[in-house]
Amino acid sequence: MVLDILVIEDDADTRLNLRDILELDDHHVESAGTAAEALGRGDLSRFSAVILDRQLPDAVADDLLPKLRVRAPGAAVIVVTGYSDLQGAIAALRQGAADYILKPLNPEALHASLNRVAERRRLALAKERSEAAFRHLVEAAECLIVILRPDRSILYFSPFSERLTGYYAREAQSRNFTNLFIPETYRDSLNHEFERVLGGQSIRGVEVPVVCRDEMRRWVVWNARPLDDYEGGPAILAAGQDITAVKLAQQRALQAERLAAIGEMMTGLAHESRNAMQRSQACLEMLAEADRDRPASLDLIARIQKAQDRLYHLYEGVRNYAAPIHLERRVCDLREVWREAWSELGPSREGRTVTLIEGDTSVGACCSVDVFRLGQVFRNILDNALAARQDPVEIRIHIEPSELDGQYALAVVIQDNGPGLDAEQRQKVFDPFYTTKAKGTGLGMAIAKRIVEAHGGRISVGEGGTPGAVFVITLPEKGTR
Amino acid sequence: MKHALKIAVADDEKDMRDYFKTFLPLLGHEVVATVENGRDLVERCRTLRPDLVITDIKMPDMDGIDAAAQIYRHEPIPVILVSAYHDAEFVRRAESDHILAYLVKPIKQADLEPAIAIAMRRFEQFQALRKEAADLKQALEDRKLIERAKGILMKKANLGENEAFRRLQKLASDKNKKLIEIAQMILTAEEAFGSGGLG
Repeated sequence: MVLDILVIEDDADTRLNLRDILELDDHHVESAGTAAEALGRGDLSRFSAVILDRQLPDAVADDLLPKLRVRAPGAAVIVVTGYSDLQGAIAALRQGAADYILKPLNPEALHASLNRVAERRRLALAKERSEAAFRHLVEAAECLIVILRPDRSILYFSPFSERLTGYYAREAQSRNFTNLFIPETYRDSLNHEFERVLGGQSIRGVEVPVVCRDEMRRWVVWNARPLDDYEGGPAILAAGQDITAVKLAQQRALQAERLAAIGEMMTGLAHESRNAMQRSQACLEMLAEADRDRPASLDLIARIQKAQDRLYHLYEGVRNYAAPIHLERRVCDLREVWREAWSELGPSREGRTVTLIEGDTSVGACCSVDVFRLGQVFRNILDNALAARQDPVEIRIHIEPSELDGQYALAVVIQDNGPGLDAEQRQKVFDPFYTTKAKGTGLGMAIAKRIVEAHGGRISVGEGGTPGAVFVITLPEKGTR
Repeated sequence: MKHALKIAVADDEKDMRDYFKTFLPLLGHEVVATVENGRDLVERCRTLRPDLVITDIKMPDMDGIDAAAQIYRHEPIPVILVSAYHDAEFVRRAESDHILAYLVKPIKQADLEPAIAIAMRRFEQFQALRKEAADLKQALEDRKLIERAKGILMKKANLGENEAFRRLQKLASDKNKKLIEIAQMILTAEEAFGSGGLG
């Protein structure tokens, strides 16, 4: 290893002699004849070794050493001294000199001494590098890394921990980790795990959440191991991975499963209820027959009938919504589908001033769909449009080429001249049981969404520049081109 | 005005049996049997020969669809199914042509009347079609026999085709019999006199 060496020596012969010996070993050598000259240099800090004559004309080594320690902290100082001054050499070592060599100069001794300096320096550099690399790793890791004293006070708090929790390291430092971050219900179990770590074991895969500054909980899976000596004492090294996303996905999957089970149950219930509903219907009609001369009874019966019809529609709605959709697709003209739906709405249009205005009919409208199911979607949207305002109702419908996940698609755009949807309605219109109509089940649009999605399509509330609700049904065109 | 029908009903729910007994007469029909299961329905239909059967599907001791099939094997009687279920499996099983309506519970009186009218009308159409098909089949069979009889006449009496056919017609007219009957006689005679050559 090549060293930058400063020789401080008043005797010119010895100076030259030293330079020769050192340059033979490829070291870079500078020299100074006096303490003042040495201290006058502006570049003392670049030297990795100083060879210092103990007796200089303007100073002794004992005075110079403390100054060199400050000005050239990276340099190892080797003191050159005579036989007669062994005490001085020992004093110099106390002052922080790395080594001493005796005059007259022995090149072998100098060589050996410098080798020791070089070796120490190499080790120190390696250690520094490795520590820097480690620090880098710890700081870059997308992982909570904390180091705790046995009393759980925080010694180290990694940058990712800062980002995740919203606490700065300087705030977290020396506070109690468990009390600061761990929800109360988890503290005992985590403390128990930490005790095991302090007992010398490593722990893995302990799922304990942390509470962040904004009081949000993040789920973390922890690994921890003991450190025998971290900055002068035993410590716990804990590394945690943020698994909140995974946890949420798990919860969602669980909820979806539960919803599916409820759906199945609801379908069964709606189905089974038909028998009971039928019996109730039969008895109601028989009662009406038996009481046909009693208007008061008939009125009540009519009211029960109304309630029962409503219940029946609700059940059927739920069944429709929850039941699996099996599409019977065939290629057809979407215009035919909505025209059919429009004509089926005839009874609710009777005596009203309503118009359905079709846009450019030259655009191709052929698509592979389940005619009955898609008709249901159009019926629901058109029916909502009819209920949206008083006459005259004007509904515009047109088709335009579109795109769905990079595939050719057709968009059917339906716009009414009603009051349109407010922010809440836009957000909730496809939620089951959401309705603004006095008589609706609130399932129509939810079912419409399911049907469109079963076709691989999408239904959305369009941006209406003018007043009125806009619905856009986008259906993939695949298989029809 | 309405044609009164003799109707057999089957449902394992007493409420439903009472319902049919109350309202079918009000629609001008006669309920000739009310039973609780498929087996009884088959039995009563055999003796009572109703004009129409209205039955539930799910019943203990033979379901409505099986019962309908058994009844039909004995005699064509139209059937209306009334069920809370319309699974694909049931619908598939109910696709035979004597099941003329499939009503999903709950039904109302208002559903019943048109369902019966439509079912009866379609049944009549089916029956007419069926008879037409049977007649056509018979006509085809007859035609084959007449052709063979004509062939025998041509050979035995050394006649041309038109003459042979005219002779058959004349024979039928003289004996006051149908053409096919004359043809059958000739074939029988040929069989009696012939050397089994007609085989």
